[in-house]
Amino acid sequence: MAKTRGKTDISTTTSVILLIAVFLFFLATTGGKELNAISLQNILDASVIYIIAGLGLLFVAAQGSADLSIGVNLGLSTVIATAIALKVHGDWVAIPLTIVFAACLGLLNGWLIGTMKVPSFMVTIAWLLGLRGFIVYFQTDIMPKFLPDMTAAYYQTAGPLLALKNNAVKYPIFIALIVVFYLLLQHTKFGSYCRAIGENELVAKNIGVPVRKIKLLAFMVSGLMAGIAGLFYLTRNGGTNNTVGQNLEVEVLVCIFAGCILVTGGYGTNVPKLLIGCFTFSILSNGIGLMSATLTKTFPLIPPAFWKSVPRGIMLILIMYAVIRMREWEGKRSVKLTEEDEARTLNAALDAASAK
Amino acid sequence: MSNSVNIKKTLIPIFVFIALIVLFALVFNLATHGKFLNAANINNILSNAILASFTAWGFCFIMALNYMDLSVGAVIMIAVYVSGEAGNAFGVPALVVCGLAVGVAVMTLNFAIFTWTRVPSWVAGLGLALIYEGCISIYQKYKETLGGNLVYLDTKYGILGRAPLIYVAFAIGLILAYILYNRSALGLNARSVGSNPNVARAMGINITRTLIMTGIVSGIFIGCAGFLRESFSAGSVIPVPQSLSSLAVIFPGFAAIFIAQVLGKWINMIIAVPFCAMLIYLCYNVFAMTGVPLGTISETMIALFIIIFGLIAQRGNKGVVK
Amino acid sequence: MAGEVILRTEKLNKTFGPTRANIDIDFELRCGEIHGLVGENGSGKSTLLSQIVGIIKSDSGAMHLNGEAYAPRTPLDAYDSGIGIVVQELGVIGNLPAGVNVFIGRHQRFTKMGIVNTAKINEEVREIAKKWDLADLSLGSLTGTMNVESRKQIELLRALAVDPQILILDEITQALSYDNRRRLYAIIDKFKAMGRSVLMISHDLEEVMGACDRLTALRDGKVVATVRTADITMNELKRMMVGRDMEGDYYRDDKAPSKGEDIVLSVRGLNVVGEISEMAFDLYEGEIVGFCGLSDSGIHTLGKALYGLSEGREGNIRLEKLDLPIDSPQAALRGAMAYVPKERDWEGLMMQGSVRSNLTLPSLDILKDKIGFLWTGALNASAKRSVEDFSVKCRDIAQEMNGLSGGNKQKVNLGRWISKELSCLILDCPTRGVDVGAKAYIYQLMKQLKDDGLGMILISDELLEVLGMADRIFVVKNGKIAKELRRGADFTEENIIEVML
Repeated sequence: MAKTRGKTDISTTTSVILLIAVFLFFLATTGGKELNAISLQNILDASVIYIIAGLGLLFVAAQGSADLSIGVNLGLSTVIATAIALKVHGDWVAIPLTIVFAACLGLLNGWLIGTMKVPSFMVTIAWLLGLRGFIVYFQTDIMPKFLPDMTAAYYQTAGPLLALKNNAVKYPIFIALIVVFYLLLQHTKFGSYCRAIGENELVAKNIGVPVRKIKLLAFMVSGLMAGIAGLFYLTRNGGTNNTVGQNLEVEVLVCIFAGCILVTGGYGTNVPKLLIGCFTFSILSNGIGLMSATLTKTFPLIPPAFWKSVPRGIMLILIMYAVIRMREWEGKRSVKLTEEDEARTLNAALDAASAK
Repeated sequence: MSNSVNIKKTLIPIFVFIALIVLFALVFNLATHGKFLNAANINNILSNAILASFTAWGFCFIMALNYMDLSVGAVIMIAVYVSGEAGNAFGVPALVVCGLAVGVAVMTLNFAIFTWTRVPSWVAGLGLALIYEGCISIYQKYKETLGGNLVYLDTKYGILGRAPLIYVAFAIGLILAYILYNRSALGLNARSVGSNPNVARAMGINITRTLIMTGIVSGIFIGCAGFLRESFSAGSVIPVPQSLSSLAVIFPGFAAIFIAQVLGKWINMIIAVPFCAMLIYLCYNVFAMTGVPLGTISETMIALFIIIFGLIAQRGNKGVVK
Repeated sequence: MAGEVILRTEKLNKTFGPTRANIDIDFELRCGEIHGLVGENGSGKSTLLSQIVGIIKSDSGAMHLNGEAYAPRTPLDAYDSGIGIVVQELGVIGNLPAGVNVFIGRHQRFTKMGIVNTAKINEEVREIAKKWDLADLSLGSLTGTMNVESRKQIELLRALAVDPQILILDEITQALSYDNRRRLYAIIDKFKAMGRSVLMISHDLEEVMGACDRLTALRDGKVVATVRTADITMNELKRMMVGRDMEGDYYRDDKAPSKGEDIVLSVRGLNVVGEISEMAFDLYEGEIVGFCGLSDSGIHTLGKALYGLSEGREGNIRLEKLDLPIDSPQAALRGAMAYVPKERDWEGLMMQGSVRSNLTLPSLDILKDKIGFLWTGALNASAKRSVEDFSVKCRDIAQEMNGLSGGNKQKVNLGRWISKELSCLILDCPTRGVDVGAKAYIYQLMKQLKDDGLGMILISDELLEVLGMADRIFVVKNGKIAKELRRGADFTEENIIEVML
């Protein structure tokens, strides 16, 4: 039977190897603590946010773009959800409104970047820093004025969102989201077009793919999922604050790259790699957290903040470097293999001719 | 002589710009009952604008090569603390030298990493920002164990951050940036490599050397941004960056250069930068005067500025933009 | 000095993949002469030039300048050897001012302690412009903001700045206005009077015949002849450039045009700024309409415009059967049109994508099921069928496009469209860079599609191909349809060339 899975194999394999390596490493260094129930639960919980936001970002990444605004989107969503819920005393209004808002922010990005062609850095960095300021302003200035009886712990005591805290509800929804987005990316026109744009935008355009529309949709999806991730965050943490979502974009990016997905996107972008990357990252973060006591003892001069940021930074650069090199090697290998094939065929033909 | 024609072309938009700013200042001064136009406030605005200008000038060189280095904020912070320690220990000259040394060394390292690993510069920059912030946290821990606070520069060494010397620094920076970007072989080579690397190579420009030299030059401006910032804050502690808050450090500089790029059609980018920086800090000041706390809506305003200017700039621009 | 050979090439060879671009080129340029280099697209002119100028390295052969061995590794070497160049592959640097561009890479003279004296550069540029009587330019503006004509002038100044013994001009006159063209001719005359040489490449045969002393004609990578322009007529020149042996007859056998009843595609008043003006025609069912012209005549833009791709396109293009105006590539895709672009490798195929993804991308609307779901089985089946139908030689459908040969890549490029029910097929240079076997196959396919009633537009640089396959031919010159020929006695190369050049 002819092989139908191709070059994606190498990157998937690498990401799995990385996952296993990271897992074993921390297993060893934490003396098995990584495997206990609480730890695994933590890893899963942390991964949930990354995976949900990542599922959305995946469509933008598949096109070869980046959305650095998902962090503030998530933060703003949590703030808005809390504000509306407190004002209206009900989640059923807050939840859809929040999701709509998050999607609209994404849509705005899609319009600015896809249709108006403003460079994606300009836009998303502007939001990254500008909206963070708005979040702080909203919470410190506006909220107290309009919601004098605000309790940040609202979500700990009331609301159907709390149903999400129940694992029997949370995980099925979560898994459903993963399945839906997997199908969306791999098995629909929209997903295929996103990946084609990442492979070669000009070719996609020449075929008749509605590139502007697809970009618009992808950013909207990214924003939408950031909003949903925000809701999940609220149930886990019970409330919101000024720094919610800070760094989320970088963390999700590390997850995506840890899954060996190319920065240019393309056909190698898929959900399994994202999942693997998210787990790798969560294990890394959790493992470092567990090790922090030992680390501080061994290296008294190095504070926990170092262990929090530096391994991520190093991993980001090293993985990208490795993926880029792998891609080159694969490219050379596939061309060379065909030349060998052709040489073999030619020789066979010559042999056959001379045998006559 | 056509040289004077060029100068006239450049000066008119500048005058317009200045006129607008002055008008705005006068109006606002009336609105705030004179609180605006007093020397201390103006000095505050201008000093901040000068700091942002140095950051933006450093960016001019980075972007000439078509790089987008997001670790610049962290690099500035490293320069801040190193120059602070040096300044307290050995005085102002050491402050300057160490600040510059840090900027040059780290920026050159960054460029080397961008070229050698071929990782897209914005991703690598993010990664490096994380790493550099981590290194700064070690320094903070170290200071803690020694029982003291983070360094704060003794006020007597902070002369570079105050009038009149800060304006002298600004003038030197402006002239240097203008010459290096528009008139030096290095600046021209850098812009060639970033704009059309094939032609650059065909015309005999040594790409590796250009990258290193541009790293050094941008490092000088980044280093200046560092020690000037520390001088400006003499007598108080500057908190360490964490969780990529170093990006917020460079936000005004970013905004200045994005807007300056749009204005590049009428005003030379290097000259436009300080004006844009002034405009931005004027806005910050407006917000502060109306009682809005720092780091909130003002940031949003700047973000909107950037986006609007970006929209204006891109009208009529075709091609693939990622 | 005049009359002596200043530049000589001996048996220069250059091959790109399966294409032998230059075969044993012997070429001579003398002092005090204006030498023209002519040939159709693909004759090897640019390749020869690129080797002389140092952009590419020869596979074999030698070059001699002033009697000494000459082997430039970069264009800078050519500059240093006294050769001034204006070539299409070497443009200007957009982010730098015009004056600086003239001395790019050679600004050491104006540099003291790292500072470039741009005032002095501009002064010298103005002197050069005055010396050669060229128009004044705004030397302080960034070249990226200038129009094509001004940029060409900067390149000319750059070439003249080395005070060259040899001036090489590649297709420069077409970018210049009348005034500037006059100035250029004056420069060329001055060169000749000074005993220096000019090597001119131009499609404008009248210009070449008028301005040059001698010319060299290339065809299919070989030198056909080197003659004095005084010794030949225009017709003889044209015949030299295009006459060739017929390579087997895999084209159509019939000698009369045929078409169906209905109009498939109607085009009225098609305009693309700077490329096409006021084109109008109808495409019938089962008809092959050919378009030929020089590479800048606009024929390749026509392909894009018909598929809704050109920006700033005006005019009416309608798919008559569906009564659908084609104003965007999405409309074209929905209307079951197909466009196979000329630049296969970067406009047509995703080179790092798999054979399967390239084959199925235009057909996703058809392959999806009722709820929009794309079953992997359906995609694989469709791809495998195409691979079989078109005999695409690949390891499996997951192989990267990079790994296929030119002919097989073109089969994928074409096959993915042909496997659909099409209303109309637009082909741009479908057999470019393709081996003989695949060529025959593609022509066979076209014959079959014509019999099945598909309307096709064939845009091609190869005259024989268009003559062999089309029912009607539109010869395009300067963006306009210059002549329509019907299949039959009128279908001769001379008829086309006469109008095309």
